[in-house]
Amino acid sequence: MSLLDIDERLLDLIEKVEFGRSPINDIKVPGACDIGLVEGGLCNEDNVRTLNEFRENCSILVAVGACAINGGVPALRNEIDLKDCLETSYLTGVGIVDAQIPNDSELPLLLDKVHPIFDAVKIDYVLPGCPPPAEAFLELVTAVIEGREPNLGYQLRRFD
Amino acid sequence: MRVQRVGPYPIAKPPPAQRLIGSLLANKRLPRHALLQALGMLQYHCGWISPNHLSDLSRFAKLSIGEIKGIIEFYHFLSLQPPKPYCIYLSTNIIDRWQRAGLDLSLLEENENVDVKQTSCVGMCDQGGSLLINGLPLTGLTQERIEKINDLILRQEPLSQWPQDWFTVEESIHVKGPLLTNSIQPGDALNKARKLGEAGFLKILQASNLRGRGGAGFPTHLKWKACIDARGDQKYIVCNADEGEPGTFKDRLLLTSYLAKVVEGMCIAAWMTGASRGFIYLRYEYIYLLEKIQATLSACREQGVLDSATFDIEVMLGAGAYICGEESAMLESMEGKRGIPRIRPPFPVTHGLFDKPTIVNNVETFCNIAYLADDGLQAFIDNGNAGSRGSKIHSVAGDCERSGIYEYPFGSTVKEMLHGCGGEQAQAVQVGGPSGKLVLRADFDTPVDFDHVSSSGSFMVFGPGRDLKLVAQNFLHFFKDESCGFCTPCRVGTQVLAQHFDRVCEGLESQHEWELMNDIASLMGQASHCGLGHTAANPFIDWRDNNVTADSLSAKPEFIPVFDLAKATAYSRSLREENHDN
Repeated sequence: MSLLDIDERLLDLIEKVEFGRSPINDIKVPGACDIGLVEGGLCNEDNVRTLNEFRENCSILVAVGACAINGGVPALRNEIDLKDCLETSYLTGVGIVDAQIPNDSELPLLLDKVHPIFDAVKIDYVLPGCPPPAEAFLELVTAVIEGREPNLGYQLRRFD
Repeated sequence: MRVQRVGPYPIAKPPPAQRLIGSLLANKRLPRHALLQALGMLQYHCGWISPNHLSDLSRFAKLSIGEIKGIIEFYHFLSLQPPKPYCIYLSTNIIDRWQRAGLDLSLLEENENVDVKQTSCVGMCDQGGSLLINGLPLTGLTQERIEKINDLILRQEPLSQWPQDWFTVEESIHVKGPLLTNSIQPGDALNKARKLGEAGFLKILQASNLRGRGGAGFPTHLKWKACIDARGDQKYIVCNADEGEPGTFKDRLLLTSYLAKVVEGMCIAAWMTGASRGFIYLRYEYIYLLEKIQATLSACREQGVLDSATFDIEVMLGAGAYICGEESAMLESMEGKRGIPRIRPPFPVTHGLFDKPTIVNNVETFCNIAYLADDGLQAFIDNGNAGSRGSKIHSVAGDCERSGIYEYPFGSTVKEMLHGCGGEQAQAVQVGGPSGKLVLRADFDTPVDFDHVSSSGSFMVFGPGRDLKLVAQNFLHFFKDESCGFCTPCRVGTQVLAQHFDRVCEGLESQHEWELMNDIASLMGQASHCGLGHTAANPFIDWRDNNVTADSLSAKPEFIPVFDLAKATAYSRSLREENHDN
């Protein structure tokens, strides 16, 4: 979503790109595509399938943000047994009404550990940050359109 | 503060620093720098740091409990968990693993009276299968002995009632050079140095080109000159006896049998710099030597070599951290903090212990100082070559007939050393420990000195049947365990290398992973905070350079996922089925 922080420059960009599957247009299945931007870590089987679909369809796949690159906050659960995690969240935690663990077979199965996305597919570029700066998105996409290597200056990679 | 013994703790004899605990009880006050010492003694005495100890220490030292826990968790041997009556540590070093191969330790692992834990090298590579039990080394393990140990543990027999010969550490010296043959009359080295005068002895030191024996090889005369020139109302002399490099045990010998020489070396340093206090920073694994060291120091005091009015030496204990062998991390540890290396400059010679000018030298360096003062320049430089004067003590272990201590002049080749220890069959030798260099058979003519292969004293011999890939894997896991966690390149890099090298060992790695490991290895070399991170990728680099070619790499798949979806969801599937059944 921080892609939207490029503000009015979005209007220039939209002249050059077309959005495939994205939260903006609600397309469910990606078609052949030049750039795939993937955020978030891999938490469940559905995430893994979606990521594989992206990899099959995108020429360039980019890991966007801390969770996609490192696992981030969701990966904090990696030190805790999955069963304990579910029980605390749905049975024994504070303020729970009608305690039960969601168990519908429609729900995707959780992975035992949260993985960064390059654990499952080959990644071409990373955009670090939480979230990455809008300028970084713009530079990456522009560079790919212009057919050159992106150049993310130091200011776009430091976060302290 | 109540110090309650747990199980058969303390072992054998009362802990030498009971005095410290006593003063804790009396004064209810604890200077910051004594905190780690107090923690070490509590651990040794009680087997853990209990919540009561924690809150007492917090009050006495005026530090938050969180801060004290932060220190405890940094050091392997300090524990916040209630102990079982016995605690066994097994060394993870590859040589120790080989020595224990064929021994079945499952008896002990299943015994409810004992915690079996792992730690890095405990400095017993020449002692056959060995372990630490309640802090003491137990050597020469056999299956029969393991069964006896198991029985004693079941009966909760105090260690003092165990056969005491199990605890002997035999010092096997195979080749003595000038350093180990020279015997000094107490006070002689110091007196001879004094006769030359400060400037005179510094000149000798410079002419001798003595370089530090801990591994880095920094010219000693430069270090000393800088400390002599530094301004400071108080200066310190510190002897680094935190021999942590896996495969090294030569300092153990020097501390056991040649300590008087070390003390004289330190006295000379004190006289040259005007320091009035000295410290020996002893690794926790050698706590069994503490009493003997204290006795030798007392003897030195009686002989007048040490004199509390001018210069005296105390022992400080580490608590299990390889990184504390790095001098600035060691100084932090001596000040009672987590052993995280300092940013240098300023160097310890100007801003060392408690921010005062400090000389930190290895045990063996101080020995060399005493020898140089006693036997003179000519005798010293008769050994070695132009770049590396003198001799070096090596801890030889692994696949050879006679493991133990060997003193060779610098410049002796790997082949000569292998010949000496009966390891001619070796396919490779690791010189200088995991952070050192792997020397393959084709390069056995390489001299071991500062200009070719530099050594901190570890010399591990790998016989023809050994898989060097597993050796590299072992070393990479060692660094992963011992990274202090302060800087990202090392903390993350050591993890990444160990994790992906595991896949190399399974034959499952992809080109992508090689690329990642190559990038990480070069990044660690450039961007790490201290020497640990700079050298931690060496086992990987050595293995890669010796085994991986462009062709073998291109035969690898481009990418392989590191987890299998079906396996990764198996647990959650079983939980779901369990819930449906309910």
